[in-house]
Amino acid sequence: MRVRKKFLISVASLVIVVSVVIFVAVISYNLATGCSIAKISGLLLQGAVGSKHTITECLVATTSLLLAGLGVAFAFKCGLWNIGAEGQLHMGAIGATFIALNLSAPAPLHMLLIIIAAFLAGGAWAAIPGVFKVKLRANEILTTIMMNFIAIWVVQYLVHGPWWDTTQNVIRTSTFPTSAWLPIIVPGSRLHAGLLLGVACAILTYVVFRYTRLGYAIKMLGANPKAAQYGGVNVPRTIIITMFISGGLAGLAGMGLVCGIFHFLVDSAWGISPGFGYYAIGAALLGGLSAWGTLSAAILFGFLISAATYLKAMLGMHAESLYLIIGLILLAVLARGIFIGQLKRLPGLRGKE
Amino acid sequence: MIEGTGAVRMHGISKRFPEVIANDHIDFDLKEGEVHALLGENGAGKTTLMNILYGLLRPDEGEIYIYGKKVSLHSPADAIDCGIGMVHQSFKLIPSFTVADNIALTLQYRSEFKIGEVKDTAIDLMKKYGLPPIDMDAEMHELPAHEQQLVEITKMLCLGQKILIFDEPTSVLAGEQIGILLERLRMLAKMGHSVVFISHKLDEVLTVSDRVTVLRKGKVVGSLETRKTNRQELVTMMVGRDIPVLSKPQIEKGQKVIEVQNLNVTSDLGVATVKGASFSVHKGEILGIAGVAGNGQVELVEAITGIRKVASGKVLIDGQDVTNASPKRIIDMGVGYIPPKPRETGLAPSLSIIENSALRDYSLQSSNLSIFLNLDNMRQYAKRLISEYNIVTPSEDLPAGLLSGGNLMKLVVAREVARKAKALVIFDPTAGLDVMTIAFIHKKIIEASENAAILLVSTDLDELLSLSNRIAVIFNGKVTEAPQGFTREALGLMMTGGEG
Amino acid sequence: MAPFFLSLFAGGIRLAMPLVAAALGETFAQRSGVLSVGIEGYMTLAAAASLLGSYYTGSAWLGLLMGMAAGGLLALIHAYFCVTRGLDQIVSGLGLMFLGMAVACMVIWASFAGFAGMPAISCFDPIDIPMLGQLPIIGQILFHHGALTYISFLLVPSLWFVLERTKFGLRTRAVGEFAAGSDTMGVNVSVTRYICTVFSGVMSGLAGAVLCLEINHTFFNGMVAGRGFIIIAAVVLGNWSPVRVFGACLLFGLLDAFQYRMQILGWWGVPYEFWIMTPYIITIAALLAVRRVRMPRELCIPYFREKAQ
Repeated sequence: MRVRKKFLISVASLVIVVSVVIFVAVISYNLATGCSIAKISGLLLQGAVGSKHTITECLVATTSLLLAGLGVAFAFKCGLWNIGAEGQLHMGAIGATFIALNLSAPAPLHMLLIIIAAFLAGGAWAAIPGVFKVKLRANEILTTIMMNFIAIWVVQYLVHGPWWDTTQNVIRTSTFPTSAWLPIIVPGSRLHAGLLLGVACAILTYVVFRYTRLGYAIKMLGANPKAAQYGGVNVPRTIIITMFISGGLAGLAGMGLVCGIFHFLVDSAWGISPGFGYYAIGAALLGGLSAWGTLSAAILFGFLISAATYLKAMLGMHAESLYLIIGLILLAVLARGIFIGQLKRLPGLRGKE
Repeated sequence: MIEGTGAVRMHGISKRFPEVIANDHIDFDLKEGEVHALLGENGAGKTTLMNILYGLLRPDEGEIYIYGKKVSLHSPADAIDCGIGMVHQSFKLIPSFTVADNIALTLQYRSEFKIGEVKDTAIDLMKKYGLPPIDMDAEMHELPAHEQQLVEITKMLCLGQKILIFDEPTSVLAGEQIGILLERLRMLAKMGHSVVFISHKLDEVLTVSDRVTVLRKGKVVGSLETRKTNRQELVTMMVGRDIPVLSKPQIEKGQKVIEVQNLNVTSDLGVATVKGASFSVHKGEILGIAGVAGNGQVELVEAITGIRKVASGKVLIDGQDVTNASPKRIIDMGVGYIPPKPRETGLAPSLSIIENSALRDYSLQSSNLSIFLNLDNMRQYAKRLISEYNIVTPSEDLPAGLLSGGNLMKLVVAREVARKAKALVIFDPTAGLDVMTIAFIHKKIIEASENAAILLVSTDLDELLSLSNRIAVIFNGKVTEAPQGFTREALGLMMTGGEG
Repeated sequence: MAPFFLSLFAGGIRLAMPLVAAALGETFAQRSGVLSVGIEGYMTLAAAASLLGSYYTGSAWLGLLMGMAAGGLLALIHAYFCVTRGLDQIVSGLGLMFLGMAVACMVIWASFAGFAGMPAISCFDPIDIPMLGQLPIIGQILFHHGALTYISFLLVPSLWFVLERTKFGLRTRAVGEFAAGSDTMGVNVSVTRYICTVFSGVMSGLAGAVLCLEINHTFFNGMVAGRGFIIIAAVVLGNWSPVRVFGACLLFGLLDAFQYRMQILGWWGVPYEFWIMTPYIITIAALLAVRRVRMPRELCIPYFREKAQ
């Protein structure tokens, strides 16, 4: 009985949160552009579910959000504030690009190697701040954010430098061979197998958290680090492994972008990611740091972001306006904390009665 | 005793918390110039009542009158305005501030006060009250407990507070310091202050107070003039029934299980806190380590359980050198650890009881090579612990944080003892618990000692005396075993640096 | 060679100034126990607000005020979430950061037809201080800056004094070390934290205004470029002590100036992207090098009286 109530409350709060965010966003766009609320809502709706094309576009966004979001969820659940998903995503893209362009192999094998490379690259990028935290007690919030900026400039350097394919019209790398393309799962759209990879990762994440010793260690460490230490959890090892997995998943998101959508690596001016690494933080928090929660949040968020991107394109606004959505989501997640706290005061909803 | 008007009158005070009624229609009054003891066992509601008087808590019902005027205390600031000062069980001093800064922090409340005058004001005041001088520029964490308490007292007196509340002030003292403090309380009363003395120690109450009010389970049992009552009567009022008396079984000393050789450990601040400690604990015995808090117990225990690295020396379990081994390795060798403050260090309150039960053994709950947890095993294990230890909870799936303090501690004890460890390190297991839970936990510890070596570190001398086969004292990082036929007074002397 | 170093140091000071005010403000906030991760957003919004203020009123000073108000407003919201409600300070900070950046972008976009024609605005031009400015080396480095730079300079000793020598500073430090104890002594923990947090926001606003009105003379997306986080690093590097934090800001400013010049001069054939990366790398290195950390004990820990007693 109690469990059902908890589930209902979390679903209800999810819906309320997203509704509030949409509402505020629409009003903001209205104030900024002078377009009528009806027109804005219409554009948003169109961008979300207007056609088969837009729906698949939303799921494309979901793919990146899901993979990166799972990565963030891993870290946050362990009490590690990994704000570096954006950088780890870019590193994963670099890893994928390297294998795609420098290695020849038949399709399935090539793809597998690319996935491994992306995971390793993203994972290593996250493990570095992890090591800094373990060995030198350096705060991971700042180090991971700094790594974001560094990663973006590394991409810039590579694309404008050694990897620049000067035969192209824009500054980018060569197009990947088809063996490095993620297959499209809905013909006629851009929706690629990365989504399936994401769902698989969600399932794996669920299993790890619930059934494995590592998952137990992660949860315990996140819930009470001192008790975890006293209880025999190997704290440094758990931290580094968790950061590695976290970055690896974000790296897969980067791979999904370059192998599934673009098929080449491009610089920050154009950008492979409008900030998915940051949005993933919102998705993970919205989803309560669980595997299924992140999946649901990634879907919802995917629709939201995609619709907002469509709106922004129609109105001619800049990418930063999308930050509005994630900012609102984060604050709404906070406000949900207040709301649920108030709810707990109502009779009949208290856990132990 | 001076006959005076009432300084404080609390009428019909009630305070409820989610699990318990802490104060149940309590009437309490304090006369000017008297020392009034508030007596009761742990959990009786004494601290809650005084926290209400000090404005830290709001009562659900009741009224408070200070010098005959009805007041409403919303915060400590209001209480301070009424002339009330309080010295808490755990000092509310800023550890990294100097003595002067801490006193300044209290005085800054008065707008006419200037920061530069702190030292002079304090020094003059301490002379006036006959208090020994203290280095004003020392940082709080460098001072021993009795000097920190002096600073707490000076703070109140500098503000000119007339009504002084002391919450278990002797719990951090030992030996002659206790007598000195009790003397000071009488002196303060003689100088016109009104003193509330919270305690659960009968002898001290009988020595120092003019009147005593006994609380039991949140209600006032009675309020008497101290000279008209005696120990027996007070005990009966406090407890209401016989406390079960423990009998220690005959011990057959087995082989050495825990051994510590010449151990030196430094604290986080780089100070040597354990100096050359050497002792051993044998199977079947309970070695108690007595000492005032802050003499190195924490670092000693952490070194033995693998949480802290040692500077030099050895820790051996079953003859094997485990110095600086990881906590996991030490757990695997069969050593259990019951930490103090379970909510902070022993459990993760947001995780379920099942998950918390498995903490020490999560690697053993399934076949050793598997990366998977055996969830069924974990659930059965948790259920077993709950029933064996009478842990009150509707379900094992609930977050551990919902358990009451006593049940929480029982869970931690259960978890460690049920593992049939070959050695247990126990640190302050019964702080703040009610008498029945304490008795239960003590019983379990003695049962466990039949097959294990138990190192019991505690700041509660009564607990140590009733449980230990041997006692050692830790003072300033050095561990000395008490000689045969020691007396309680001798122990107190050793705990404060004198010869045993 | 000499002109290079002169311009380097002068540039270093110019670039350090946006950091100084915000870093000092954040030092106060963190000493009281509140962490503002969202400074990047506060500064962005403040830059936009100061540009609008300066444009619409024609006065740079009023623009400055607008900027400070914008920063203070965001910080007030942060204080509500973190101090009154005790919610997670990281999430609140990040949320407000993104919000600030988004609102800044949208407001400027709406006002100036999508960044098409950014107007000329009233700014803080460099002031030549009459006599001191003529001094041989120091004069060129120190005395040809805008008004806001001098204000930032003056903030350093003033805020040091407030923190270390006044009752308010004592309360602030106490609340950040031991909130429960301070409450017992009659200190109003909430009010102290609110004041420090909002002050940090206002100072971030000052910094944002400096970026816009004194250094860049315009607004563009991404103009804060991670400085909001470098500021937090400066607080850590300065071990939460105002004078040291100022030193850290100078260091970062110098590095920034150095890095700009390296991009242009192209020394040693190093690609310009790596020069841009140096501030971030140095920030990480700085974070790793700090020993004997004196972080306020209560940083990020909310205080509720009923729960603590």
